[in-house]
Amino acid sequence: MLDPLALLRLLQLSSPSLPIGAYAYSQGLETAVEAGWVSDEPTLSTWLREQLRSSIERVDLPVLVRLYRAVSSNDRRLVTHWCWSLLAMRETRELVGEECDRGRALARLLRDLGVDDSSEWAQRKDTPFVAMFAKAAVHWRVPLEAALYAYTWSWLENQTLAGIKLVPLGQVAGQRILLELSTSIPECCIRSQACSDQDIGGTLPALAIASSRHETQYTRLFRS
Amino acid sequence: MSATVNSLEDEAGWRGKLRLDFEYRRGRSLLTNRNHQGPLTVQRPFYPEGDEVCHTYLLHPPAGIVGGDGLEVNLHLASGAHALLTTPGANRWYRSPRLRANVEQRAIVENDATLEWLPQETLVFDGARAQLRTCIELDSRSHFCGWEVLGFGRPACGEVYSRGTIDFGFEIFREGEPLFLERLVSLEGKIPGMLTYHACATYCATGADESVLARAREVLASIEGGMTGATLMQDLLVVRGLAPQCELLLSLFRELWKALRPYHVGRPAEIPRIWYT
Repeated sequence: MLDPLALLRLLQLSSPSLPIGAYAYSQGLETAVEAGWVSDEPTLSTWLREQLRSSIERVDLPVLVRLYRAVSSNDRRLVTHWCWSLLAMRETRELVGEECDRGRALARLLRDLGVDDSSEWAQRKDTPFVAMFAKAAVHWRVPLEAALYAYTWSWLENQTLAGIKLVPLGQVAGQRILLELSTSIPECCIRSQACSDQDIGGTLPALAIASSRHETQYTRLFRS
Repeated sequence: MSATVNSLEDEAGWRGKLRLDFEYRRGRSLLTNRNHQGPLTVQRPFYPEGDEVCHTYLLHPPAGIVGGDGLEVNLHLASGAHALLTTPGANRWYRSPRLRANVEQRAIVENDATLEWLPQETLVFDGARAQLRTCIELDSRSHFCGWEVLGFGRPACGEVYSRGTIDFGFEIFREGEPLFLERLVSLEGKIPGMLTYHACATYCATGADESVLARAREVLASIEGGMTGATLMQDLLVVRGLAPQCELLLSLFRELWKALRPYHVGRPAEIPRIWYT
């Protein structure tokens, strides 16, 4: 069993109440709904499942694994390498912007909570959220595997909430999607840990196009 | 395991290697070295727009790739050289039940050199197992404009890509650091993120800014068919498209390139003749 205090820290880190504004981003979903690509519970579920399997499992999680280890061993060169690689894998300017806005917000929070050397990250323009998540997890002694589950859960919860607001769908539909998709999270986390450096990377053309078009979308509730 | 009789697979496969070096000497971009093994080769270069730009057609006479094949293209553009590369026809990746085919395309573009990488489409038949990696290595003042256009299955014959393994990477590095890493990987035999479309494509060009992005969006808005999106990653213009067929995306990117080439490389578009055939 996870150390109780580490578990509680992890719940705090992955809670929607963490003041980093995660609710403000839809990662192209707002455009996908406007274009009619996502219009009901099955299409929302498919959209999120593809993102879970192709982006989260193949990009976010393997990079989180590497950043967690690099932060643990205080290897700054590796931290920088994976931060830059991650930003080059984010498909659009808005997704890069989201990554860094959330990253800086978390860095500011960690700085204000007194976490070591987070003030430098809070000032930089290219601070990925994934790197700050890794930093917080290492600082609070959250084991890597638990950090992967929490990261994925918090992504899924945010995106599902954005989806039910945008389509719109009822709360029960949202809970059904969370139940259904979270079933595959354990396997995603296992595969992401086995992913080699060369295998990292996953792009979804529809998501990249949706996010590109979001930059000029006329009415927007979300920032991405 | 016994040999499969109903496929073109061959344990040995085609092994092809092509290396091209371009240099800029006395106002002329020259193809100073061409080294090839196996089926890949080039035609004699052309100079339809004067000495500064070397137009080169990459040829792959078998025009199709099957499991077990391994092809490698290496381009090296020395400082100041400007090369425009294209291909005379679509490349085809056939069904391969067992072996994976592998194509690596790598370009090193030195400072003040310009590479325009404008191949025709790649058609991926259902059941193809393929790995394609296009890797562009830039220096701080190198210029690049290029695209990859991919079609999956043969929608005209009702063939949908549904049982293969593909891994297609398009990567751009600048001074050794990653600038753009795109990777399309099949998920449970299918291509994810395609909605109901069968073709996807990516267009990239360095040296772009807000005005180039705005111009790209104007051009895209003026052309019907398919679904496109343009964005800017640092100074890299990235345009992506989805369409029912790849011919549509290829002609769309040609229109885009015609409109944007003056911004990308400071020259009006000189359309390679082979595109008309």
